[in-house]
Amino acid sequence: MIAAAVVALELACCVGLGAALLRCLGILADLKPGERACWSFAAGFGVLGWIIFVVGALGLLEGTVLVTVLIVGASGVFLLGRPLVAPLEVGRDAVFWSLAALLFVVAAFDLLEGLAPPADADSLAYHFALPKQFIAAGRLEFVPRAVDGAVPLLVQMTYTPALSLGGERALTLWTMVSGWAVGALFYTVCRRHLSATWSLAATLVLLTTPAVLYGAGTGQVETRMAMFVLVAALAAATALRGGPLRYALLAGVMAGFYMGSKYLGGVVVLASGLTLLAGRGWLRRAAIFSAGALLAGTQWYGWNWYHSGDPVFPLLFGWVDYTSPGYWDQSHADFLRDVFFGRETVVSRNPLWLLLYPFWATLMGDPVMESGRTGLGPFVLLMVPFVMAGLWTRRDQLRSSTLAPIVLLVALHYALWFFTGSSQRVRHLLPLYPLLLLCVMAAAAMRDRATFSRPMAAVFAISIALQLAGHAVFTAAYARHWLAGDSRETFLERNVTGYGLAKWLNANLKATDRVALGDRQLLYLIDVPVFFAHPVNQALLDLSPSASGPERFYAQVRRLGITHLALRRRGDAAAGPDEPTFERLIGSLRQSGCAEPVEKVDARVFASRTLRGLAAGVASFDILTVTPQRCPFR
Amino acid sequence: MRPPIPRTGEMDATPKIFGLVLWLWVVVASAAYLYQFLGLLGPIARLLGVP
Repeated sequence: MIAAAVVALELACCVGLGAALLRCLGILADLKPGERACWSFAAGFGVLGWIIFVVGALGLLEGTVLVTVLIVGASGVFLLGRPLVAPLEVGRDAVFWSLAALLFVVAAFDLLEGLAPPADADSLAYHFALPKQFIAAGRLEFVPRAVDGAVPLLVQMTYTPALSLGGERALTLWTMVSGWAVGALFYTVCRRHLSATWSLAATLVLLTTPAVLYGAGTGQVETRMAMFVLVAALAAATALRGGPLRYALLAGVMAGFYMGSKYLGGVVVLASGLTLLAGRGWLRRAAIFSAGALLAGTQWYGWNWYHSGDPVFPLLFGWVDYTSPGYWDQSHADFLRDVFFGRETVVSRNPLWLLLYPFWATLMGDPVMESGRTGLGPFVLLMVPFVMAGLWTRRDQLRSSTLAPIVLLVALHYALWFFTGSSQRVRHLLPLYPLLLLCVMAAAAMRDRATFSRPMAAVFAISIALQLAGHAVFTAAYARHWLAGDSRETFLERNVTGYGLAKWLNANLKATDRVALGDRQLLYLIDVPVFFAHPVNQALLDLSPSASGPERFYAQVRRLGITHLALRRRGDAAAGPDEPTFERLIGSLRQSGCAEPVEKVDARVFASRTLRGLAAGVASFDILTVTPQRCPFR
Repeated sequence: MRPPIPRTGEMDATPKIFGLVLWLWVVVASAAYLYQFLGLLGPIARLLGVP
């Protein structure tokens, strides 16, 4: 009950803060009833993330302050005006109501996920683990870890009030609600260009997209970032068509929120900014846009710069001076470049692959692209000929179309993303996907003759049926949990690989201990202090292949206050030159008398929580305690 | 001389062919996606020697 109340209050807070921002910009009055609430939530979501950053940086992350922020923010709801939503037009056809019924099924599936404990690995590793760490500390802490530590965390800041005030249940319900908000916003955007039935169909396609199913109900940020892109693109398009300059400012603020959520956000700022350069008055538009983006999106870059000397830690290593030499070094920089960036690049970055990538990713997806279970689905691919027919039929109206700036923004964003060397995982394009979906729908919507409409209806039916089937499989674990009335422990044992280790550590270690381990999916679930011993992303505990000798490793262990080490037993096959550094160094530490085993823990492990048959088994973990009294090193 | 009057259905031939092409695309692309989604395309491609 408290969890639901906290989520309702945070929802009202986001809407209220956004309404206040849009009212200040003079944009709220331009919007239709349904749009006012949805745009307000999107803007307020970013504003709340920004405010919680300031609260956390000041060391005020405590219950009373967070409640005050939520209540003050929620008071802005009264700025929305009436009516909140447009009256439902009567006389919809059977297709509309069928789609609405399917949408309720999707919502019911999502609710099952929202009521279950978190199980997504990335969420447990940092989306939820970092807010939990900040709440425990009462302030933000700089985490000198590449990729998932010292990164922009605007979206995760909105998880903090939910987790702090309403606990884990409020946290998972909040991700559910903020995921739905994307669907609601997308529907209102579609209604500007499409009929109610088409808009509902597009929303259903979006909400059942594999990447959305995977990420919307978890802590993954991409789905929520789609809200920022949608409003930024619409505001930029309005500004470009000669709208007031305040729309350029709103576009800048929303693009800034995107930048504050992910390093990749610079791409959307650049794409939106370049779009605004077209036409007369570009200088003023671009200046105002840039001011908005800098104001809304640079806080985490400043935070990283203040603590490490590198605003985009650790990408400028070698170019700027670091505040601490222990945060990063050349071997980790080389290692990260080779392992992370090298491994995440599947196809060459040239113009040919720019065109082929979407088809390749959809039909021949490499495992690194993750275009199957967490991809964008078949819909856009199936719609290609319908879109081409639509564009050809209306080729003389394309330049004057209200969607032309949005198409430009999508194309620029995609090209910049492709050529800037970021990961080629398909789901990283998810924030852009609703805009693409809107353009595809609008281009094909004129095909209302039977010759076109029947196969197009088949495209919808196939896409939605496939995606809904995937949704049902994905939800099975949550449904089983709910129907069986399982405990949190049982659910986590079934759905989080290696959870048995976290359970043992929680039961046997104290708040004064600190355990180092390499199992990222356990970080949120471990209630005692923990250090994530990642071989590439951090340098405080040097686990790069070149690291050798127990003496330096022991010194680092002691400096980090690590009292225990947990590692997965891999058997004799992993020994030798290919043995992971963590295991090798712990072995040498043990031989030196600086660590000794205290327990062997068996835990269930598996490769996929959705497809249970994938490589399931039992793994053994060795728990060792550091023994300074017997250690020859000082 | 007046042009011959088209017989019934002849005027709609182009849209019908286009409609057929659309159906073909929908069926083939859906099947291709389903194969890849279910992870079958990879093993089949490997069987055929595609790297």
